[in-house]
Formats: sequence, structure tokens, C-alpha cells
Amino acid sequence: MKSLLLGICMIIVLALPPMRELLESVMIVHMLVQLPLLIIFGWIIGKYLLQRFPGFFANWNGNGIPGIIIVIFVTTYWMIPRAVDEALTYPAVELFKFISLPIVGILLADSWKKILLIGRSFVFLNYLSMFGLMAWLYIDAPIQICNNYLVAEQKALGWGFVIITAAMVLFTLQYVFIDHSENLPSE
Amino acid sequence: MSKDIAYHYEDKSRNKLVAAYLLTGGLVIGLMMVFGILMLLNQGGILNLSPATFYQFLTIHGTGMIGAAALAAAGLMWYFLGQYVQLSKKIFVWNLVLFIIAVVMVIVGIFSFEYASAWTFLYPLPALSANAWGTIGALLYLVGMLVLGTGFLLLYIDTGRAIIRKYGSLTKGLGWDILFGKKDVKDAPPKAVIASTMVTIVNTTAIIAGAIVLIMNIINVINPSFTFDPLLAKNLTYAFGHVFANAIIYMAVIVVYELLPKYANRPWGVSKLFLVAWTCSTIFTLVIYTHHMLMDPVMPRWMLIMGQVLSYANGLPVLVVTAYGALMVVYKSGIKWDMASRLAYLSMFGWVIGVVPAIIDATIVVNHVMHNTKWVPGHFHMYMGVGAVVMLFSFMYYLAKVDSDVQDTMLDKIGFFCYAIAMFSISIQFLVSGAISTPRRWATHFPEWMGPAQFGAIAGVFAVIGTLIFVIHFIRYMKNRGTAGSDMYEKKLA
Amino acid sequence: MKRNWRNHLATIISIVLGLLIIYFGTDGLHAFTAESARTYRLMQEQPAFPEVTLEDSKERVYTLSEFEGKYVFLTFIYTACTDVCPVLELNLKEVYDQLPEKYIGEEIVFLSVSFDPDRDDPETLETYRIAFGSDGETWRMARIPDKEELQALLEEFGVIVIPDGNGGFAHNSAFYFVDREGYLIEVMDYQQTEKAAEKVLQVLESELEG
Repeated sequence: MKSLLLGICMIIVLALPPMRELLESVMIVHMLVQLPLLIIFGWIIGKYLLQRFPGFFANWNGNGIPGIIIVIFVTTYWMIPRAVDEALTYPAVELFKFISLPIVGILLADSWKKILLIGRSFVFLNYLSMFGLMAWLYIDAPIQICNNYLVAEQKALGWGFVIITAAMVLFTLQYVFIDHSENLPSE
Repeated sequence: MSKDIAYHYEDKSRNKLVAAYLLTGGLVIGLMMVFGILMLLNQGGILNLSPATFYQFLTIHGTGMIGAAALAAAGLMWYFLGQYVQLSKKIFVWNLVLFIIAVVMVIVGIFSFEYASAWTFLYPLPALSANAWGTIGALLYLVGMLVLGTGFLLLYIDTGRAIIRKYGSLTKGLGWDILFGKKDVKDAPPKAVIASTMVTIVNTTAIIAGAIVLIMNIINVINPSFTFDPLLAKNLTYAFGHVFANAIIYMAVIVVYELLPKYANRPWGVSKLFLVAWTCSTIFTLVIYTHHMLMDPVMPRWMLIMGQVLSYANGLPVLVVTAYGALMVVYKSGIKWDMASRLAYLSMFGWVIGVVPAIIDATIVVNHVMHNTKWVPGHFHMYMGVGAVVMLFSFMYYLAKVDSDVQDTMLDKIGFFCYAIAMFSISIQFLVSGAISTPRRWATHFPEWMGPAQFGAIAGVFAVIGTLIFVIHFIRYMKNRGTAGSDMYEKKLA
Repeated sequence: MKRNWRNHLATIISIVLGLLIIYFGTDGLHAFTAESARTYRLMQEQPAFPEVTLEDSKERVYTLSEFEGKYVFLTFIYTACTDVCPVLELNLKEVYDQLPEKYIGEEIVFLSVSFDPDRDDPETLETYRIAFGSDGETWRMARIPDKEELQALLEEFGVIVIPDGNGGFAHNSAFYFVDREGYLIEVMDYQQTEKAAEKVLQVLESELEG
């Protein structure tokens, strides 16, 4: 119950106009702070919902695949430059952002465990290449991709993605090189 | 007892899947040879294809050969690796399904929408075709490749997961704990596991690079005002293409490791040198794709020099320990020569001699002159045609032997010589063309360049006949699958 | 199989839902950036050129009715711009040069509109005009002194102008093609001048023949 309230409160705080103004005025903060925060608070809410309605998730998201598909599509949508741009221009898109991303968090909380190591690795590696591509796109694009943000901000975002990609690569390397004999993944 | 039966049953259904991989691979390889012959006939002045058709053939030939050989090699690797670690059958099936979807997309893209930018799909060619093909053709091809990559990525995640689960980590799969003296060499992982670990590492990396460059091309095709740095694109393309193509032989060579000791009835142990060799090749394979960029003067010089030096070193460690080991195992062992062992030996021979032209080409001074000639196809036809693909055929005969009572016939023997001589002639023909400076990737040739091409086309016909004989033998096996009985499994070889 | 039919159904629903999000989010895979979405929408809507008063480099003051009955091919610029505007103008000239002379001035007029009326007075525009080799008649450079009118036009045509704080502007760039009645009929990629010229010619000729 506490996590439900916490999650909802935090999302409401994020939705307050001054908070939105603060987070959305800079592109990199918008993409790499606000959007992930919405997912994280969704995750926190998800923890509660999973306990409250275990039957629903077991029935409709038994193997985690339906959930992860929604997660992939919605996050892909939010990686399209236009989506971020239009969130600033159209209230409906902004509203969709505040609804869809917490849902992503909720589904992720349920699906991430269910899709097993193989599914997690697959999703992880795909996001790794996707973020690498986003880095390249935003740094290298000679045109202004978003109408609401300047080219310099675009480049900053690109470098943000470089850092994320690099971190993911390092994580992968340590994962495959460090011995797992002691604590075998549960499957 | 009941456990034995269950295992046997499981084993049979696994063999069925592996056979499906090999059959798909074998059939596609045979079909792609036909396109190869048509291209040589055209270059030899015997056929008169339009240039557009020629480049479509070039695209399907390259894509199909690499894809089919990689698929069959993955089936081979999965068969042997599965004897040591617990692999997922579901994912193995998914990879095949995705492969077939990808093949259909690529074929429709090439033949119905006239996409023809070669299997290297070098940016920005997919989008800039001077109207030779449209957006749909390019998208079908690129998305098809992406689907293919998805299947393989799933497969390698599974092999990596299984190896980590059994051995602790990928480095342990490569035997590093033995190299660092923490474990005795007699506790080393089996050779099949070492090779599979290497391939898992390099191909996962390659596919991630490939996904980036493919999606980037897709974005560029859909919206041409998104442009990217072409040099980075080229680097990523070859980091994907070179590694993926190169890894085929490292998957296929497992058959040599598994087959020869059984046939010779002698152990072929893992030595420290063997482990060092595989570790070296893992690293080199990842970094030497730069030898494809030797003609790009804008590349940092150190990268090019590294490309040259490491290209020399790339295949050599594994090749040397494998060829030497193979000789030692067989030497005075009274080995029984049949199709499988004969093909395995031919493949080692092809690999050894195939390396020579490659090393010549990787030398920067030579590369500037040779890399755009047919010398290069000469090198990879030898390496693939007489090396890697022969390993796949060897495995096809091996599987037929251990899992059925189908016998080798005189026809198979004829097929062997037919194929060996033909494939060797095709390679030589390319090398000769290269030596007389025939450019590569040209649809039409001057008369003085036509001789070798005509010779190659004729040889190609025999290569197809040889391949057909191999595939027919394999189909006969598939019809009689399981007739060997599990107790015969090892006995039959002795 | 029976036990997890809900899971299968959910899988299918989630795929369909996901595709719908992507499909509608990109106008049916047409527009992946707000800019392409904007041009796509503009071409669907075909807004009318609003009532504005222009002042050109020759200090003439007129409304759009000056060009009544002619096609207008326009761009939005500011002269202090150092990056995209010069390219935009050079490319506009390329389109201008590719059209047959008989149509220029008779059937179609070229117009560069400044969205920086404070600095781009007629004198500055005159210098700019000479620099780019426009004749000032069939290809005019003008500002809209009334800021409200300017804003209305920019909004109607979806031109987004953000001051960058250093006296410059970040803005989106394209060719705008307005028909004889003053309706925007086409927004074109300013980097593809040949395509743009081809399109204009096609419109002119199909109408004159028909």
C-alpha cells in the first residue's frame, strides 16, 4: 500500500507544471531523467499491484511476453524524436506520456522476472544497440531533429546515450567474465 | 532404464532439428552456386544478363551463401555443444523460423523489388540507388537481415547462458583459469565448448554492431535527410559482416575436433597452446575487420597497421594448432577413411591453403592494388568453399553415419572428387583473374578477362553436381533417421 | 494449452496495440520527426496565407494580393543567420534557375520572408538581395513589420522560431509552395532542389495545358 501511494505521489509531483517546466526545458533531462523516472515510479506501483492482484498478472501475463512486448513498443515510441517534441506541443501527447510510461514500469516489474535470463539478455542487448544508435543519431545528425530543442542540446543528449551504452557494455563484460559458479542464476 | 529411453527420445528429436538446419543450409548453398555460375557465364561473355540482373544475383549469392553457411554451421555447433551443456530447443527452432522468414523477405526484396546493393549493403547505397530500386526493396532486404540477426542473437545468448551455467563464465569457457594456472589442463573444457565460447563472444558483438548499422540504414532509407557518418557506418558494417562470415569456420571446425578422435580411436586432448590459440583468435577476429578499410586513407593509421599485422595473426593460431593436432591424431592410427573423415581432411587442407591468398591481400601495399580485383573472391571462395562448407558436408555424412544405417556409395565418392576439384578450380580461376587485374564486382568483362570466368563457370557446374550428391545422401539419411540405434552410436565408428 | 489461453490472447493484443501506437505515432510510418509530421499535416490541411502586410527591399509596402493569380514560392529566413539560411537561399536560387524563364514572374513569384523585422530593414534586405543575385522583382525579399501578423503567418505555416539567446534563431527550414488562390499546397525539402523544381513545373504545366 505504501509503495502504491509513494509511486502515485511521485508521478503527481512530476506532473506539476513547475516540475515539468524544469525537467522538460533541457532535452537530455527530459529524455534521460523524466522518462526513466516515470518508469521507475511505475515499477514501484507495480510492486504493490503484483501483490494485490497476483491472479490477474498470472493469467494475462503468465510468461511475461505480452508485458515485455508492450514495454518494447512504448519505449520505442518514446525514442522517436517526434514523440518527445510533440509532448511539448500537444497536451494529449504529454498526457499519454504520463500514462504510458508508468504502465511500462508496472509491466516491467512483472515481466522482467518472468522472461527468464534468456529473455532478459535479449532485451538488454537490443536496448544496448538501440541506445548506441540513438547516440549516433543525435550526435551525427546534421539537421535539427526536434523543433523544440537546439542542435547543441541534441548533441548533449547523444553523449548522454554514449555514456549509457558504454555503461551497458561494461556491465555485459563484467557479467560474462566474472565467475557465476557460486551463485547460479535461478532457472 | 527409463531415463535412458527418455534421453534417447530427446536425442532423436534434436537430431531431427539439426538435420533440418543442415538440409536448409545445403539446399540454399546449392541454389546459390547456380547464381554464381550464371554470373561467371555473364562475365565470360556466354550469357548476356542486364547489369541490373547481375547485381541482383551478386546480392543474393553473397547474402544467401553467408546466411546458409552460418545457419548450417550453427546447427553443427549446436549439435556438439548440446552434448556438453543444456541448450534450449525452443530457441533453436525459433532461429530456424526467423531465418526462413528472413530468407523470404530478402528474396522478395531482391527479385520483386530489384534491390541490389550487394550483401555488404554499404551505407548510403541502400537509399541511393539512382532509382535502380525503391524504398520497399531496400526495406525488405534490411529488415530481413535484421530478422536473421535477431534469430542468431537469441541462439548465441542461449549458448552463452548455457556455457556460463556449466563453466561459470565465458572466460572459463575459453579456459582462462587453466592459462592462469588455477586449474589443471586435464580439467579443461572440451574443444567444442571452447570453440562455441569464442563464436558466442564474437558473433554477439558482431550482431549488435550489425543491428546498429542496419537500423541506421533503415532510418536513412525512410527519411533521407537523416544522414550519418559513412566511415563509421563502414566500420560497423564490416565489424558485423567480416566477423559473422569469419565465425562460420570456427563453428564448423568443431566437427573436425569431434570426428577425428572418434575415427582414429585416439584422444585429442586440449593443451595450453590450444587455449592460447583460441583466445588469440577471439581477440583478433574482433579487431581485424579493419583490413577491409585499408583503402580508406581517412582511417587512423594505427588502425590500418593493426589490421594488417593482426590479419596475419588472425586465423593462424587456431589453424596451426588444429592442423597440427589433426595430423597427430590421424598419424599412424589406422583411421578408416569414409566420406565424413575424407571431407574433414579436405576442409583442413582448404583452410590451410585458403589462408595464403588472404595473408597476401592483407598486406597494405598489395591490398591497394589487389583488393578491388578478383583476388579477394579467390581467397574467400577457397576459404569458404574448400574449407568451411566442406566441414559442413563432413558433418552431414557424420550425422548420417551415427544416426542411420545409410551407407556411403560409389556415387558419394564421385561427388567428393567432383566437388573438391571443381571448388579448387573455381578458387584458382578467381586468383588468376586477380593476378591479371580483373576487377571484382563488375557485370561485364573485357575479352581478355573472359577466359578464367568461362573456366570457372564450367567448374561451377561440377561443384553443383557434387553438392547435389551430398544433399541427396543427406535426404536419404533423413528418411532413415534413427535406424542406427543408440547402442550403435559409438560402435559403428570403430 | 487450455490453461494459458489468456496469455496467448494477451500476446496478440499487445502486438496489435504496440503496432497501433507506432503506426499512429508516426502518421502511418510517414513522419518520424515533428518536422516531417508538420509538413505532412500542412499538406493535408492546406492552410490559407493569412492577411499580412509586406515591406520589401525596395521599401514597397503591399499585401499578398500583389501576387494575386500567381503561384508563390517562399522561404522563411533572417539575414543575420550564418548557417542554414544562406544554403536555403542558394537552393531557392537553384530552383529559380531550373524553371523556364517564361513562367518566372508571369505564373510564379519567388519570395523570401524575414522573421526578424527588427534588424532586417529594407536596407539590409537590399544588401542581402544583391548578395544572392535576386532581381528584387520576380524574386523579392521582404519583412513583415507587424509582429502580430508575422506570428499569425508563422503559426499558420508551422514555422517554429526559437531565439537562441545570442541574437540568432533556431528554426525549421523548407520550401513553401502557395497556389494562385493563396492556399499552401506543398511543403518541400529544401535540400532536394531538383525534386522541388520538378514538382513546381509539373503543377504549372498540368494547369496550363489542362
